[in-house]
Amino acid sequence: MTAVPLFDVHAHLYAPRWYPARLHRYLEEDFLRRTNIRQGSPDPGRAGSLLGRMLTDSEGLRTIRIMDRAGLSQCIILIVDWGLELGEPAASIETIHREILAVCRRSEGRLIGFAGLDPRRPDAPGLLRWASEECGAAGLKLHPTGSWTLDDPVTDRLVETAVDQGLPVLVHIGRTMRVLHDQHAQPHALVRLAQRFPHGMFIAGHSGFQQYVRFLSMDVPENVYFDVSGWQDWIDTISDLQRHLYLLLRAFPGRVCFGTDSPFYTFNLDARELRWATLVRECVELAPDELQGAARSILSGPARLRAAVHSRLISQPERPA
Amino acid sequence: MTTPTIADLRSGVGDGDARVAEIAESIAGFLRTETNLLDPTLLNQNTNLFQSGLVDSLMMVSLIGFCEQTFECELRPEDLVEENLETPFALAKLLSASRAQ
Repeated sequence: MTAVPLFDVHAHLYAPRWYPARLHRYLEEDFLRRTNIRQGSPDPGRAGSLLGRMLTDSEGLRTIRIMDRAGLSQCIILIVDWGLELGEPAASIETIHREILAVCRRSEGRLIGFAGLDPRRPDAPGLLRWASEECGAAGLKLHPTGSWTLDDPVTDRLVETAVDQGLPVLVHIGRTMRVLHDQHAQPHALVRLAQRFPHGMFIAGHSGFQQYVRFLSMDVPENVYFDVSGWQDWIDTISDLQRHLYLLLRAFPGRVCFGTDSPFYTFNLDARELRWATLVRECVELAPDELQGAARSILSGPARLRAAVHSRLISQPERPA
Repeated sequence: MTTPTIADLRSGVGDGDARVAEIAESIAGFLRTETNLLDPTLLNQNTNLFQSGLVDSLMMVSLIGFCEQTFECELRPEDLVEENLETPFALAKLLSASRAQ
């Protein structure tokens, strides 16, 4: 039987020039800390080089290969703007958008690019309009893990632009890397933002990881959706996934999306992506009758989200850099 | 047959097939130690590392790091795909070919 294709709403492309050097150093340190290797542990320099080679996919070719192997039909590629917080990457924020969104445009609809902007950027709303109208961004990614909040006036101005343009907004919620913090990436902050923009569409990135339970006791507006990317880091068995995913589905039927956060959990290893996709598919198959409809919508993604991003897909000739 | 030393493996002593088998055994040995396998027969040169659940993403990156350091080579991103990594023997073939280039 052919597996139903999955729509991955949360992934990234990596190339060292698109991310702050401090982030790459953190990834190296985190890798060395998490691997307690006794034999021939790679030295930090070698580990950094190896991680860079594992993660790098500047043309999206490895991502598409993995998607084919894991049965993912489409993948939303999120640009992340940590430049003001961690130091600017080698490429400017405009170049990052131009390059990543060009990769998405060349993918014939397999990769769908979202802009990623720190609202404190000078003329962030203008940058978003440019990324959407000129480069084909189909949404906006916010990563409120630094010195700004989802309640700031600059954030409202950027989100207002996204909503005016019909762009979904995916917001990182929950724990993050040690060089950042999650103080402003909390469920209640996203709920307040969604309440201020009732015509917008918001996705709680990672559903807040284990903090998804906090959404269950809140009055969450209908325009908030949830993705389960990163859950593979703390859920390893079908029974655990059933327990947590069914709780989320019961509370928010039709609003839960599949996600991988590739390549940051799997280092572009296709077997690991396949394992997560298989686990989610099995969980959908095993869903109790009353949850079957809601569970199946995880596979293809909520109709409203699909409609929003597909309406933005543009197939236009490459614009000169 | 005497067990090859790391120096032998690095210098490419032995014929091709035997060398691949020796590298594969070295890889399996690394994994047996790092995964704390109580029963070493559970992991051989042809064990599927992904399906067996013995190796997660971090362990796979560590394994590649061990191989690059031990066999003094640098694998290309396009080589780091499932077919080349799924068993110790497959990875040994990749390393052997990489060293031959």
